[in-house]
Amino acid sequence: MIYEGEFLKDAISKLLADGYRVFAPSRVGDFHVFREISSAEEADFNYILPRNSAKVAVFPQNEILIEYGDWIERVPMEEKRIAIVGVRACDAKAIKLLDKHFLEGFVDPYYKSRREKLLTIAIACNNALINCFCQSLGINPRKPEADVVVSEIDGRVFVSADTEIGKSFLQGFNLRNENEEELEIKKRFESEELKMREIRVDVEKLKKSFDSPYWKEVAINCKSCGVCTYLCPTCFCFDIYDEGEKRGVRIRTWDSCQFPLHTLESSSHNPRAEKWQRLRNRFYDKFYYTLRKGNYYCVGCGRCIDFCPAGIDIVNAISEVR
Amino acid sequence: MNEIEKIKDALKSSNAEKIVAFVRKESEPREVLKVLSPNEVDKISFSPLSLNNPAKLLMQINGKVAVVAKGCDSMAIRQLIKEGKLKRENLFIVGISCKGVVDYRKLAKFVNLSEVNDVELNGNDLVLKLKNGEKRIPFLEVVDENCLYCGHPTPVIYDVLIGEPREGKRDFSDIEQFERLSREERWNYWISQFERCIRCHACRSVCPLCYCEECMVDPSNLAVSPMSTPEEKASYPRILGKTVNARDNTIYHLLRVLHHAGRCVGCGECERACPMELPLRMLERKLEKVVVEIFGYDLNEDIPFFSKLDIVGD
Amino acid sequence: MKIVTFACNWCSYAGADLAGVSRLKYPEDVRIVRVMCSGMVNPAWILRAFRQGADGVVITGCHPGDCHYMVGNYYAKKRYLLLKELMKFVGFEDERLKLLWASASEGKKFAEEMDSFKKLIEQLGEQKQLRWTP
Repeated sequence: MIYEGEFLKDAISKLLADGYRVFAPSRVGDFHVFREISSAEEADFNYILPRNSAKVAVFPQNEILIEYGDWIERVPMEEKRIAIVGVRACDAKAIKLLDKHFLEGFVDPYYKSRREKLLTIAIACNNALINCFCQSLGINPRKPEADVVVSEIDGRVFVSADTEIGKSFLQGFNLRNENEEELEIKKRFESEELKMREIRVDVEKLKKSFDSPYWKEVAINCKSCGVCTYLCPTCFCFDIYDEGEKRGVRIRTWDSCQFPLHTLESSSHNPRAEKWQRLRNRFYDKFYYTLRKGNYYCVGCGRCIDFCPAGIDIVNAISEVR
Repeated sequence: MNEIEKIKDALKSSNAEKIVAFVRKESEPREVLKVLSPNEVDKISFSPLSLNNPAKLLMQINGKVAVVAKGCDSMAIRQLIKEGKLKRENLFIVGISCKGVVDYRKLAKFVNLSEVNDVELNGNDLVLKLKNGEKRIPFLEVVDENCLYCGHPTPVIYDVLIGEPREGKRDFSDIEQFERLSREERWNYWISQFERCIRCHACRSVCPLCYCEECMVDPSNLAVSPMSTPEEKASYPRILGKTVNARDNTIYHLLRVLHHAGRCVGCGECERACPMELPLRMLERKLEKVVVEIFGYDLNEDIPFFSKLDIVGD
Repeated sequence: MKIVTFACNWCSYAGADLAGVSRLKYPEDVRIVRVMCSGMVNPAWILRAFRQGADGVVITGCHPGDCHYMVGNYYAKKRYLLLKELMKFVGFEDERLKLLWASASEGKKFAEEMDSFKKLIEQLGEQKQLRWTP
């Protein structure tokens, strides 16, 4: 269906009026970050990919699990509905992958409380960035998996909804059906491939090269910082600790497998003491270990390549494994 | 003979077992540091896009190493030698008199990076060799802001120097200007910056001077042993948790910077690495200003700043 | 009000003790942490104190030249100045941080300085800039 006007801004106004917490890309200096906004003006959609991923909406960097005094006093759960406006196909897919991690098998109640009330509004990509490679991982950047999908083609705003939540949300908007020409345009748009980098994943080879000296070579310049994991839309590791002695809060925060302390055990043994082991772990976690959940856990957004201070490139590292 | 040939020649003459130098990436014009063996010398490249500081990489290599170093890199190497982290006799330093490096993120605004084949500096212009044709950008528009305040464009320690020595200047005008703002304005500015920080600790990890194995801000695991009781572990000192909010981030950054007083070499790696583009160099430069103006210390002195036992004020 | 005081074992702690023994009154908001030397006061502790809700922090030590460990207070002064300048730069109310030289015989000085510091902190009000809240 087609909407006349700025759909995303109008959608934000409506969501805010409906009492949603809205996460949208907002401009900071020269770039965009996903953050909670309180008015439609704060959002800015003149971007390709925000710096941080949309996972902040469902899996915030720090959240309070319990508040304690003599005993547990309060367990804060998300009560408001949440909307993410303006996600790209990669981040939308990443949320689906996080669902698998947090909701299959052991169910994470905190994640669940947010996920159940989540509405995602995605935008189809018109252009790719220099390090995008989602197409080679089976994601169509022009057809994101989300509740509501918006594509802007030649000045026309196409809006469609695949899920029940999405459909009921769209009922509040003044939309008209496409004519045949426009349907054709949209079809062509969705089937057109963008020019992107390609990743070649050879699982058998990965399986064999676990002990290869190749990983030392790749990681020689790794700084063991958390850029790749904190910007990654599918990284889900966290740490839990208490703040306050007699009274306080138990907090869950993001953690990164690249930090040496991540795997340090109380026995003072560290199974991944060297940085190449940690980097290898991240690569295997994206392309091999997580296969038991049925997917690669990489969505090809390219953030870890763009912002790695050492220039480590996951596409090259995985494609050239030996 | 152009610059790159000179560098290769100098590296060949070094008799080093390993070479630390820049190598061009395939998919984009970015250059990354690599450890090469002497017969791979021809792979190396050097251009205004050779951004990173190799000093940290040197610390993990044993044996004789040849390294390509700009002014700030050599400052870092000298500081690490001063602190006993590197041995001068193990290093062969090919010093390059540096005209400044490009800010990669600024460059990305001018041109589609995937089309850039080569980058070189010609006079006051940055010449980009594109797949089809050429593009000139005034260098001042894409130069790393940090390079404008560079005090040491010429290496301070080297075996071979390439290029003409250049004069640096010490300039704290922007810091002074910021200091003139009211307290509230300053606080609001920094809080608005720090609330963006995601505490990925990239600034700490890339800094050549942040080589501690265990950092102050990490949850302390000082003497955890199989015998430590849970109570003992829980009561270990902790300065900061992993919580991310503007105040905790402020504390983290103040602490990080404090450890660089009189040591910071001004390579700008922290700012370059920061995915949220925090103005971290401003804090470092403020501290440098304090060290220079209040303590009268000069980074070229042989004695580390904290070992000097002069007292200032009352 | 909470005023955290790091007092060195050899001079200032004895000075504070003397103030007590001499029955000099100084504000009860002052909470003394005894350390072996002012030189071991890590800037991180000061920031931690502010984070945990201190309204003011005082580092006290021996007079320059009198340090039990010869040079500890020189380090203290250096760290103090650097931290103070940096706090000023980011817009933190740096008056909340104070360095005080007080010897073992200066019980009176200790009490008076604490009194005036307390008054200053009261004027500034509660410290909210770095206080941690969940």
